[in-house]
Amino acid sequence: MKIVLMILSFLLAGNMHAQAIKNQDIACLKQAFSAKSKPRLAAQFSLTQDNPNELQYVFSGLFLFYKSFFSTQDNLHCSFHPSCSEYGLEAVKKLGLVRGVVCTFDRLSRCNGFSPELYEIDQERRVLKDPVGW
Amino acid sequence: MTQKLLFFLCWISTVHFISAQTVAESLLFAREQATTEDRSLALKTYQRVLFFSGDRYRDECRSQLAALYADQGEFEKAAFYCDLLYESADTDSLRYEALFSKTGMLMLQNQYKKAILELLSLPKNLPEPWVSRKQLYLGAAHFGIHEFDLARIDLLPLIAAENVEGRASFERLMRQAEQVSRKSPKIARTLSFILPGAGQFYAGDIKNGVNSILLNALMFVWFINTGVAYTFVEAAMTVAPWIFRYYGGGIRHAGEIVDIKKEERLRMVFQKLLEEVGKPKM
Repeated sequence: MKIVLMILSFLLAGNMHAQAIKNQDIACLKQAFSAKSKPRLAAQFSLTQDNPNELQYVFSGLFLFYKSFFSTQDNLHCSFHPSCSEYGLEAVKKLGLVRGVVCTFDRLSRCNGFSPELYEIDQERRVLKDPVGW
Repeated sequence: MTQKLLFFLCWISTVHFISAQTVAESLLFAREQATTEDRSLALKTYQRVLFFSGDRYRDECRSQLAALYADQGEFEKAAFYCDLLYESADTDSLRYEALFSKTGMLMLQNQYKKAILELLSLPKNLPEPWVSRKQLYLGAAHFGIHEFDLARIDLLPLIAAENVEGRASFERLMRQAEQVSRKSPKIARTLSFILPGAGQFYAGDIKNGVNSILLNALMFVWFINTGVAYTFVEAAMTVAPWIFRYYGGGIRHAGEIVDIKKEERLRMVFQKLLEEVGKPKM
């Protein structure tokens, strides 16, 4: 909205005073050099937001803890999308504790990049697609 | 037969009275839509007007399309329409406005070098208000590519010579920017190689530094415990991959954090510089 007003005022006003121009230019440059806001971790992973029971609440918390303190320091990238941690949370949420944990262990055992021919490639992220399924 | 004739008469009379929306009416509609919350309809209508009106409403449509695309965060398309406006503008004043708007769009995309090229295409004998604007934008673009000496040359004349305090503050901020830009990702990586987390501390990221040092300490304790409880060969086989994962990750991230933090701080410094430059001249 700010930018629209700025450009409208740039382009539609005919004769502007030098000082007025300067203020608008400064507003434009402030916008261009504004700090890039980083979204909160919980907001990045919408799956952690909706927790109808305590179990899901605990798993969402564990997931966020892992993402904050371990994943940020990790040197490796998961071969799949969704990543193993996201897959684990989604599996527990969708399939329940037992099936979810079994699926997660299955996924962890497959996360080695040795059999890319078995999966579709996510062209955007350049990783293998492996959604939660039973 | 009578029915067909009746139908034909009804059709012909309806067609006679119905008329399509004219270009002027579409333009009015687009202007109205541009003031509403959802501007996507305004965008489509302006495009339609631009297509059908020929040269009549060309400049207004192009400027409005640039504004609407900028509002949607599509700065590349906004810059494209500014460029078209620059090509078609009848007056120098409108042409320069279009060029400065395009420069602003390029800056919003962090394309500082392209912005410099655009600004250098302006004629040398610009009238006064435009000269100041050119200096301001050039200074910002030079600051964006970390050419602080050039940014100083461009921006300093925008602060009045009598404003000694403002000039001193400007110099202090420029020195701060130079100091921030000297932080090197290589040094951060080396520090993290020597002591996990040190590179992150050097970059000014305390949280990640503490995180890295704790995680590596945890891995080291795990390694020693496994070695003592079993053998160090077994410890190396089981724990070492984890150590390298987080130790190596810490080294790599330290370099990335320096770049991110450097950019963040330079942006903050530039905001302060703009405040100095934006203060009215005495």
